[in-house]
Amino acid sequence: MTISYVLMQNLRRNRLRTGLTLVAFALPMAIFVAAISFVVALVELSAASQKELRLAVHQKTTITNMLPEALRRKIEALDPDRQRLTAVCGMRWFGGRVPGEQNTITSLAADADTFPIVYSDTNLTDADVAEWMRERRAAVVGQAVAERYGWKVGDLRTLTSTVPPYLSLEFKIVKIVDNPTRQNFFYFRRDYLQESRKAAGSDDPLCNVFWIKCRSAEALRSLQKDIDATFAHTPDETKSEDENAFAANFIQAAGNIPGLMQAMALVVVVIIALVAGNTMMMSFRERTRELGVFKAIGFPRLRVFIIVLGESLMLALIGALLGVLPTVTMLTLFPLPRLNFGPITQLRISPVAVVGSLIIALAVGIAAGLWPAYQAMRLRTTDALRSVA
Amino acid sequence: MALPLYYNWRNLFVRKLSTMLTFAVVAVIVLVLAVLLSFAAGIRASLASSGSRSNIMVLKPGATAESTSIILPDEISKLVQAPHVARGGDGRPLVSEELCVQTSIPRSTDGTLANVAVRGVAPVAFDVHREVRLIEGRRFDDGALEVIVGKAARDRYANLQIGGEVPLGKLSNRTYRVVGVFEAGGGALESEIWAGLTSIRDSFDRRFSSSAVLALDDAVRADETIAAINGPSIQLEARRESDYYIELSRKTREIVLLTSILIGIMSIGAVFAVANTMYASVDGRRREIAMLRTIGFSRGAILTAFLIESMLICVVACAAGIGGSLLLSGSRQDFLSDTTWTVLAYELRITGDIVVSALGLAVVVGAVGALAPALRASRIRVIEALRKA
Repeated sequence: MTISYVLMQNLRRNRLRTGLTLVAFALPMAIFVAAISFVVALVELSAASQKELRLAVHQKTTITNMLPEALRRKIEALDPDRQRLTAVCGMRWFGGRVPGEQNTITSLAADADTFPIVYSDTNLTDADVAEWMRERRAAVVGQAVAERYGWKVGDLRTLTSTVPPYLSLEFKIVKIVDNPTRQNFFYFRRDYLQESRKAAGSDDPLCNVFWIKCRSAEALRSLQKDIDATFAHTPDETKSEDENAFAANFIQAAGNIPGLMQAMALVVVVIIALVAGNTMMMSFRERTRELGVFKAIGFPRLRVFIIVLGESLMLALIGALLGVLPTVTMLTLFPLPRLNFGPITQLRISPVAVVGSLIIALAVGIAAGLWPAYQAMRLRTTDALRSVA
Repeated sequence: MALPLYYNWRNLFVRKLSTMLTFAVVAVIVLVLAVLLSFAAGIRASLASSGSRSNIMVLKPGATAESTSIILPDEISKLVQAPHVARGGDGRPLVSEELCVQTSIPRSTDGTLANVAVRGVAPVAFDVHREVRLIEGRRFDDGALEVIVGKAARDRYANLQIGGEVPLGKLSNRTYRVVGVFEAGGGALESEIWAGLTSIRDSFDRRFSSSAVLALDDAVRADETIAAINGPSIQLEARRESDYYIELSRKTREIVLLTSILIGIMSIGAVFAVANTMYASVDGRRREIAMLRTIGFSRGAILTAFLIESMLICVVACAAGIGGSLLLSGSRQDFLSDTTWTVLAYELRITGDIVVSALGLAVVVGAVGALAPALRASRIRVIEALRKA
């Protein structure tokens, strides 16, 4: 008679209770795995942005105050031999909307010549770059945006800006980017924007932000210091931040969903621990006599301890699997494509989250079983045999 | 005849641990529900009390917020001729021309920067925004480097007490002094900094305005005014001021939706946890129940007794959860609107609606969870149960 046989039999004894506990355990676990996947996706995203070694330079007070485009040359002049930086790309917010839609697309006009270098994570091929340089109205679009509106490469699409002078511009989509870091963006050429603005009577070559592709993390930090020092006490004081610090300014606009997800994960752990603990206490209390019999026929204390703890572990693991597996299957088949919480556009379950959930379940199983198991071990055989359930 | 409530209450203490654990599960879920909803309620309460129904907000067509709107001086002079515009004591039309800019100010809690709205207004603004009332200090002198700050802004952001200094301007090189604090009926304006239109124009080097707010002498006929402004002779975009702010609270719908899904799933889990506890309670009391039946209590009375017992746990747990959430109630948060690109400081609020939904949730969880166990209890066969040890 192996331990696992005893464990299974014990779980089967009160099927109703086992069933109830499993469901009460599985549902919060389903939330847990989804919430942790979200957090993991954010962490991965910020690690991926970190690797891109991009530095954002914007006006010191607020990003809505703009900087002259000539700043690009001044930044480039800080490193004439290109020891620290590879390219600088000026960007201006367009804030375009599909006519008739409420949602503003994160659409930005970028310096055409340096965009493919600074945003190498758009994975433009040589042919894509050639098309981007040739077609004045070229647009590089994130997959999430393209899917939301059903756009394909080669489509001509019009966006209307939400900032003065509220231009309506026609774009030709030359590339749809599937890299997770660029899902929610729409880039087009700044010279096109500038010409159109000029035609509409506003000739002001300004940028909201300059993105600098750096050669190394050290170069990024030294440039950050040098740039802010260079422009201090000039009409265009700057603030430089790496991409993650820059993005942190915006994440809050989504209603702090990441914080919410972390809190949810924590709450779930508390709940499942309570549920499992409750069941284990009940089942221990009922079986005090039986444990006494085990002891009477010579089971060592440790074995009794393991039997009770093992049952709790088993319950937690099965409960976790029941919660995690359907969630993983569901979200793999239907990955919530219209999700729009900050930078996360699709909730894909990551293996890290699954493993994390199982580890948490194990920990909860141990925590819930520890006290009953300890009591079982300390049980005095005579008392146990005498007790009534 | 029904069993006395006292019987139910005492029963809860027979299985203290089990009751406590179930209690904790429900209390945690109620706490999460209340806190999440209080974010949305706080934001909505603040935005819903912003703006007046008898005021008209005018923006440039295509602009989604004041901060991205531009209104030129000759457009203002056309607005003055719109129908039903109220007149002030001096006979001048109540049309407030306003310039919205922004600056970053550290939060007083953690020092992180927030993008705070700065509004340049002429004296007429105080006749148009009738809800704005000074609670400390005095008004700014137009043309002087002086500001007044909203109550919420003063509480949430650093150095905005009377006498505090705020650097403003295109180059952040003009130091304004705080001379007064105002309230605005708890609305969004309380998150703002106000200064004289001429000095803000000068400091930020802007020659235009962002928006115009018109007070009407007859709120009922607002539609005629809106039609006239949207019409061919003026060609701007008008809406009721209150509608503008309600539109900004759209974002809270996502929070509410997400909360509902998460809480829904966890509540189903809680139903199973409650059922588990109640089954154990019924099974442990078979003889007692048979006894009650023998002395004349009906099946119905037994059924009700168990339902009440379970709901007692849940309602008390709900009270505890709400109590916990009240500790957070009133604390100041802010969120960055992705439309105006400025922060709105608001208070977490546990409203009556939230208490009602939490209570409803607790009662439903208690009742549904206890239904099957209570049915089992009411069907216990008396003779058999009495005979068994």
